[in-house]
Amino acid sequence: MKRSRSTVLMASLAALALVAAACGGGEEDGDTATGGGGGGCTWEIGTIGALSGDLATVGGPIAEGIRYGVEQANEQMDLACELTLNEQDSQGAEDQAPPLAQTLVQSENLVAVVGPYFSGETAAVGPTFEDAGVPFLTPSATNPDLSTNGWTNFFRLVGTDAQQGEEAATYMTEVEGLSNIVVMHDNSEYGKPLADTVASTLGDSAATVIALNPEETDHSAELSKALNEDPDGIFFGGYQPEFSEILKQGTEQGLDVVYVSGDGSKAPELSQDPSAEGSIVLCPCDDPAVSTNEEANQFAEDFESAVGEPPGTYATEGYDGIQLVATALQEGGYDGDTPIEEIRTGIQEYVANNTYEGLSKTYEFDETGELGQVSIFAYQTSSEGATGFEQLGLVSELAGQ
Amino acid sequence: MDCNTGAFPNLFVTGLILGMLYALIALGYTMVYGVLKLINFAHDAIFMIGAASIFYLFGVWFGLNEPTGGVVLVSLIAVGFLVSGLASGGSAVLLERLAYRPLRRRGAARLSFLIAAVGASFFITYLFQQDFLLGTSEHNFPGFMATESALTIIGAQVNNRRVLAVLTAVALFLILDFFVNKTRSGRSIRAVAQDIDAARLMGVNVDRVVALTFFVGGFFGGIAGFLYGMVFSKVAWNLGFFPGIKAFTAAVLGGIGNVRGALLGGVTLGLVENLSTLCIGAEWKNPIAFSVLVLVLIFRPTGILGEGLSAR
Repeated sequence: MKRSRSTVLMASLAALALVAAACGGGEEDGDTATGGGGGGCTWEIGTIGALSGDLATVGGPIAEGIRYGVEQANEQMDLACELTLNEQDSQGAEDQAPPLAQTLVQSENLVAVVGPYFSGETAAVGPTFEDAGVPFLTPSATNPDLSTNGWTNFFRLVGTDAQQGEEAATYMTEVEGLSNIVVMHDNSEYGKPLADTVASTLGDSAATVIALNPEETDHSAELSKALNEDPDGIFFGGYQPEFSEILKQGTEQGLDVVYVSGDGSKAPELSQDPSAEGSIVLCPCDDPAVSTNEEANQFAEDFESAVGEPPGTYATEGYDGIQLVATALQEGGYDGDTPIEEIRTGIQEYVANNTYEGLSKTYEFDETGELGQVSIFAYQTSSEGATGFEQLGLVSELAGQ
Repeated sequence: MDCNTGAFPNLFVTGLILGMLYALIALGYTMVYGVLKLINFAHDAIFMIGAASIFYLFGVWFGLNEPTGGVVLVSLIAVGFLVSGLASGGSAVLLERLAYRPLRRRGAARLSFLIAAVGASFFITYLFQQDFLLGTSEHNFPGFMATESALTIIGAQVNNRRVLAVLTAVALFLILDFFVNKTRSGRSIRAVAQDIDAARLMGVNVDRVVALTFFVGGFFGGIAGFLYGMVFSKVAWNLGFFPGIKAFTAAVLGGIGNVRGALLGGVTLGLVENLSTLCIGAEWKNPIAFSVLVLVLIFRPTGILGEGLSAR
């Protein structure tokens, strides 16, 4: 399945390159360095997310992917107008995002938005974009409820927490062969629903569900309770700092089990402590630097030489989001004189009705803006891997489904 | 309600160890309160400085991240105690000099001290959050001491780091008890605690005694930071926040101003916290622990032991 996907991707890239070359030769002789963006007009793509503050460690890599995507689209695609990026820094806070969304939709050149990055802010700004008819593609907001609002302009470029939770349960029981799993979470809006989905999917294989306070360092009470269940696996719904603490303190207390967590734990810092070696992280993201997909490896190299660091979690989705919008612009044949409303509608229709072969996956959306087919990847923490992880593969393939 | 009696040994042992660490931090609150009737809320930051100093010295400058053993390990631990103690003790003295002494000179109201303490706590904590210091991310504690299972108490595994933490805490309490009750400096601290004006009239240098109190409390808080960082293998700008609140609670529970009360309060709090999760969810740990505090204070407003430094 993977091979055929690469082939299709390669073919489509080659075709694109040909088209670009042909058009470039015809219209912009001698101006190949800047590529597209011929007519002196600009099209704006907006983005909202945590560009500064505590959560910039999550938002930063996504924004880098988006910036790189715009740069590449201008260089390699043949667009009638130059793409520019309108960045709005919400610091990840849902109360800061709405006015920024207003600023974006009032911009007369705005064609689409790739963002917001987090679920809370996406829920807060969704109505603004929907009312203005601006397509918004989130590269990383994974709360399942977002697609239940009836927004036609909403598209999600990743799998949801619910899908992730189901696949995590499949991974633990079918790939690892675990049968007595303690499910823990950090009581957050992200961690708790994820853990609850895992627990309900596991059914009898879930020994118990334990909440912990992420602000505290000592989790001995929670881990003592886990130890009492004599489990063979622990799933943690939450973020990397707490998962690291569970790994350190759990192994110290003699919890010699398989540790599994979700995309919130997929940060390079995880592999810094030896206790994390061998633990599993599931993510609806294809980490290009350690991907088994060679196309993605090449992308990671190009990205690193251009940006200075390897693409982080959801950077590829950000990149794909931009490329998808750019492709819609190109296929629509718009130019600088096309009314902006027509372009916005055109992009929405193109994204909703077409299949796009992106770098990390095939994007095909259902009527709610969810991906029809999700790809959840399993990673093993490893000090050897470029980003602290080694990719084991797609959960569905590992489980032999 | 189904109780996990099987989890009792682990909850008991981990609670005891945690309580000893709370107790060690609580000393800083209780000693300063005993002498100045001031709740030094900045003590959580002083505690964090102890852990940070080891992170810089051993982790960043000397890169001691590989496990060592024998004489090397023992001397590293000794140096670690000294450095973390001096870093925190020194910071505490500096804090007293810059933030509290000017207020004392001007005879400021007690509320002013409290605000200054809260302000100092935020100042130091967020100073360390800046990128040129610890930054927003968490760091691993230098791994010069390998973690290995050291002994098994009533069925609960205890690793060498935790054993070291408990032994150190016990030793430090014995030393401090001796220092406060049997030495000349200790007597001057008790004198100032009893009656600051009378002590001054009797020729006690109050400023020096206050500085000494801050130093001793800070010194022990620094070593607690070193041990806490090592036990949980973590150093971060906000390391002191929760332990600070818990230690302050322990000090009040045991009887603030009382050295032995700090020990008793710390251990009680650690045990109550962990054992409360025997029958109900771990998310009730804090509500139950603090309800116990309120109950104790209703029936014994001065805490369990209820006598200050001055009374001994």
